[in-house]
Amino acid sequence: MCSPPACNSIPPENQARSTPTGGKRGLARRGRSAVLCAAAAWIAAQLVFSVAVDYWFLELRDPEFANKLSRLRCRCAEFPTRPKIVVLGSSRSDYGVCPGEMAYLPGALDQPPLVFNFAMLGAGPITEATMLRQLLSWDVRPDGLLVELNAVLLHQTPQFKEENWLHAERLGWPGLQTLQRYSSHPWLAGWRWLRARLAPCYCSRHSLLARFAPRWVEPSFRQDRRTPPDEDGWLEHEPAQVTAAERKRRVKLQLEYYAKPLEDFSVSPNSDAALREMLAVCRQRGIAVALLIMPESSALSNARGVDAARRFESYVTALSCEYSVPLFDARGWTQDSDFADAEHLLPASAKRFSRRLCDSTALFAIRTGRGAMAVEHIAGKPSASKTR
Amino acid sequence: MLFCSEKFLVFFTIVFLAYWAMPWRRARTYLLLIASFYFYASWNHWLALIIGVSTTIDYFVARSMDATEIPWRRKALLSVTIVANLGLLCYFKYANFFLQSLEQALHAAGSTASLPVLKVMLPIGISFYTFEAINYAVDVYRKHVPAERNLAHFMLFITFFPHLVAGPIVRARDFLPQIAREKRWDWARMQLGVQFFLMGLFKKLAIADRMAMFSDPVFANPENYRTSAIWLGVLAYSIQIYCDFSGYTDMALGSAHMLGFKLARNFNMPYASANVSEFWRRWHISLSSWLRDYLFIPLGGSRGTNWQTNRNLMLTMTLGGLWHGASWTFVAWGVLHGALLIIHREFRGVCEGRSLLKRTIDSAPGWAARVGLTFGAVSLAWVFFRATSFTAAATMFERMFIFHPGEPLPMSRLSLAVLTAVVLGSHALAMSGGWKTLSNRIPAPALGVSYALVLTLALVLSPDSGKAFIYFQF
Repeated sequence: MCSPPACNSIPPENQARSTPTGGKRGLARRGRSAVLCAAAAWIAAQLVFSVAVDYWFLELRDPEFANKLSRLRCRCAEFPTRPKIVVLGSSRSDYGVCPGEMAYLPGALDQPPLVFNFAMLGAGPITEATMLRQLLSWDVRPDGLLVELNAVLLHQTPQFKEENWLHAERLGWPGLQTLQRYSSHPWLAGWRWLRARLAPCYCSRHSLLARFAPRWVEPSFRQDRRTPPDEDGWLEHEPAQVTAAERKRRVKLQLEYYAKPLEDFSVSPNSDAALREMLAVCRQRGIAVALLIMPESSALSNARGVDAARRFESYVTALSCEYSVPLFDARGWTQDSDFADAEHLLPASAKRFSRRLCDSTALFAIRTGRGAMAVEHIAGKPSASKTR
Repeated sequence: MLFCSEKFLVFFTIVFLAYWAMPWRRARTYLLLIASFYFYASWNHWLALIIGVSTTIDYFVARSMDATEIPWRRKALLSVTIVANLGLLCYFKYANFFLQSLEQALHAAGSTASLPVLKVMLPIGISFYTFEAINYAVDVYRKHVPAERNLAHFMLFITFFPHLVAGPIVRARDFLPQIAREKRWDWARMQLGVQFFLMGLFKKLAIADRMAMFSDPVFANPENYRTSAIWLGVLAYSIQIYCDFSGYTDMALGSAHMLGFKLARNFNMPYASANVSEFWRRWHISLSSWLRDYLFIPLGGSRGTNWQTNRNLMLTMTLGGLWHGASWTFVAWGVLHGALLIIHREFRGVCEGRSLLKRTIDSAPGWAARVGLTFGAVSLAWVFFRATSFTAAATMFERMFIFHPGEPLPMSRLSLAVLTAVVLGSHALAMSGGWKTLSNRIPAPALGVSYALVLTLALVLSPDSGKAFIYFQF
């Protein structure tokens, strides 16, 4: 690789005079033209790229969201008349809710709903709220939402909070606005978002390379080596089986990682506000909602202090009552051997769990009313619909 | 604050706009001085204080030297400034190295003495600005340049941010007149600066940092890798260090041009050298010329007997190796280069009496073979430069020359092959003169679009973890 040719020993001010063609004025004109064209070309390219990424190549901005969105749209196109139930939640739901096993919902339904798992890794209330906003902005209006409540993610501290792993730059404008409402550094989230629009070729470089030249990407960024979710958005846990010793090791690591939120559990104001916004939006738009507490291993339940467990339960019950939404508490539905670690279900267990969830969510039946979707609480009062 | 970071982009944009918006030359000098101290202080505030104090001392000593004609006093003042600068360098960079080496020697001799370890932070770029201060003092002593009367100008000469951290090592006679000269906005110069900067950015982000993805894991755990992976790791490091350092230099030259300054050229396609002597005329030119002018020639240069010349060569290269880092592996690297220079010198003597041999090595295939051989020798020497210990270097050599199974490279070889081809192609284009022709004939708008393309490519290809420039540690 050489250096630019004009770096010879002639000082630049003299280079102009010593160049046979054009003279100093010509060189200046040429220089100005080159620099301004470079700036214009760069700005134009970034603008085009940014618009293209936001509208046509969303997978370059946010591969996880784009992947699930395209699958959801495919399913909707395949079954346009079925009511849509979208699951929002964390990795617990991502690995644990297998819509393929929920293909039919028994009960008084005109036609079986289309269940789609839109859970994301590490998604707590703030991510769930942003995802809902993003879905609505992409004209995906679910008829029902199954919203996971994860105690660990309801508790947010400066060291442990969704913002730390939520990529503002990947969000669309509606998602960013939602995030900024619950972010402790809204300007930082805004700057990251803006930066991704100003220099999309830099901010989306890993996705870009992963899409068009996967062999140039660092192994950790390769999308083609990751297991994609199935057509209903379910992410199958790998490996499908773990040994008891491996499970024990993973549980130990998770307990260390979650030590703080497990001991000093409290619902952070931001998490609470994000959940309430989501519930309010759903009520406003006529979207039926149910809350879901995903299974967890006994090690995780036991590690949570008595007070912490009480606080969590009283919070979710109150929320359920306040918004008149059913609450499904699935914590006692599984055994420790069903998990790959302390909280993620193994594929076979996920299928079993999903079938049971399917039966239970018959309470959360959705049917077509007179032109609008409505939720019917078969069991009567929301608090009474809490099942274990 | 790395040249390829957002922080530098913001910093440089502010400095650039303020600099050209200011109509007064003196104000511009002070602006650059403040910016340079801010740039240096962004690493550590105290280190900025150290460079400020040492520069002030150098300034006053040089003024005193210039004010007197008494030889012994001039010599004493020169000694003061050299001892002060080398003392600082030794304390910060070599004190622990010498203490540890002494302790190891004592242990080897049977002693159980344990020497203290000093808790000092290595001021970034100290090797570079120390050499600049020394060459200034020596030049004033030799009356090659007058002592600078303006303290701000002298401080800017030492601390000018584009060259402060990793060179090029500037000479007072080249730089000080530029500070005093009136600067006018010049689009041609701006274009040159942009071109240099983008080229450097591409070298750093798209090539050097990508090559590090191959070389870093191999050098970190050579025992895990198979023979072919080790060879490719060494090749990757050879390209990495060149693109990293010359990329930094290009960015330094580009930033300086955009502010109306010209820095010395530091690289001239070193891997196209046909022998080690030529390599050192093309690699880190500002350091090799410094070593020649301020060490090799004062030692006697090549004026004495063959043995004396070889001794001077070896001494210069050994100290050059030590200059790079406080470790015996760097010393070994310097000794190896000294040995290669001596071998080349002797071989040249052998060729002089044999016309057939001379014709053969001067022919095109002979030249290609010599370039290949030189590249191979230089690349093998990089193993000492990069390895963290002699044991690691020995493992590398063992696995290179004795076939070993093991893991392949951690990433696909495709990007290594393509980027190596890009480097080779650019060299070939530049050597044939095609580069110059192309950049002169291509229409300006097309040139502008190509700049945007280079920037886009550099950003797209930059790996996740931004790596510091290798020469920042020296």
